[in-house]
Amino acid sequence: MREAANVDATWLTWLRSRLISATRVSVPRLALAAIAVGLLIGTTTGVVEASRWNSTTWNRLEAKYVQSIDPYQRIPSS
Amino acid sequence: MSSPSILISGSPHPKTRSLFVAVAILFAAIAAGFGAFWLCTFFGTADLRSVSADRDAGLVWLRREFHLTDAQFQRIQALQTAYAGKCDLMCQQIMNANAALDAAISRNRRVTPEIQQAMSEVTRVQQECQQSMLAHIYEVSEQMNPNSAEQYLQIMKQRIIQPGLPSTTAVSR
Repeated sequence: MREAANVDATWLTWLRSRLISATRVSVPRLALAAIAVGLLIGTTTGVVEASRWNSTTWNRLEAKYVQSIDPYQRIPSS
Repeated sequence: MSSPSILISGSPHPKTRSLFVAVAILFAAIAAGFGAFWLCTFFGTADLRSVSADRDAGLVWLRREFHLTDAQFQRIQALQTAYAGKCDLMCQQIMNANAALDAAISRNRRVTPEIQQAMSEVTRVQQECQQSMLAHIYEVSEQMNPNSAEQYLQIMKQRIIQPGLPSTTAVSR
């Protein structure tokens, strides 16, 4: 039992040391990491949003062409 | 067991300073994210934004979608210009025929020769318009490369010629 408790204590000590060391980052490094994450998220969502907008607009342009040759699609519905 | 904040207790407001730094970092990260988002959407949509602002945006779509050469595009543009007037006229004919049928339906309480004639006129105009439209579509497709023409006809068939149910639709008995 004592041996098991020692093992647990070693584990906890190791884990705690890892956690503490993980939080011991310098402020510039933390800022850089946060900005990098912000840039990554912003870029990803921006690319996805641009792609979605382009797709919608492309379909709209197609509809515009179809409308220009189909008189039935020009007539406003009552 | 002393915490880091106690170790730097020489500073007047260590916790306030830490909080300020954390908030500043958070704001910087959010600003960077918004900046990246705006740049990506602005430059990523710049091309199509300029196209959609064009007066002939539909034709520009046609040009890009079917990879038309300058010569092909000019010929199709000429066809489109010639067809536009005809299309406007057909549009007017459709509206007139529909209005006449609408008035005849409102005036009568049974199917009279007047209603029959109005319905025949609507059908005639519809048929004329579809034939004219199909002829224009064939003319346009003739200006394209074989593969593009095939693709163009396929799209137009779906969007214009068969706007209702597709031919493969199962009909209930």
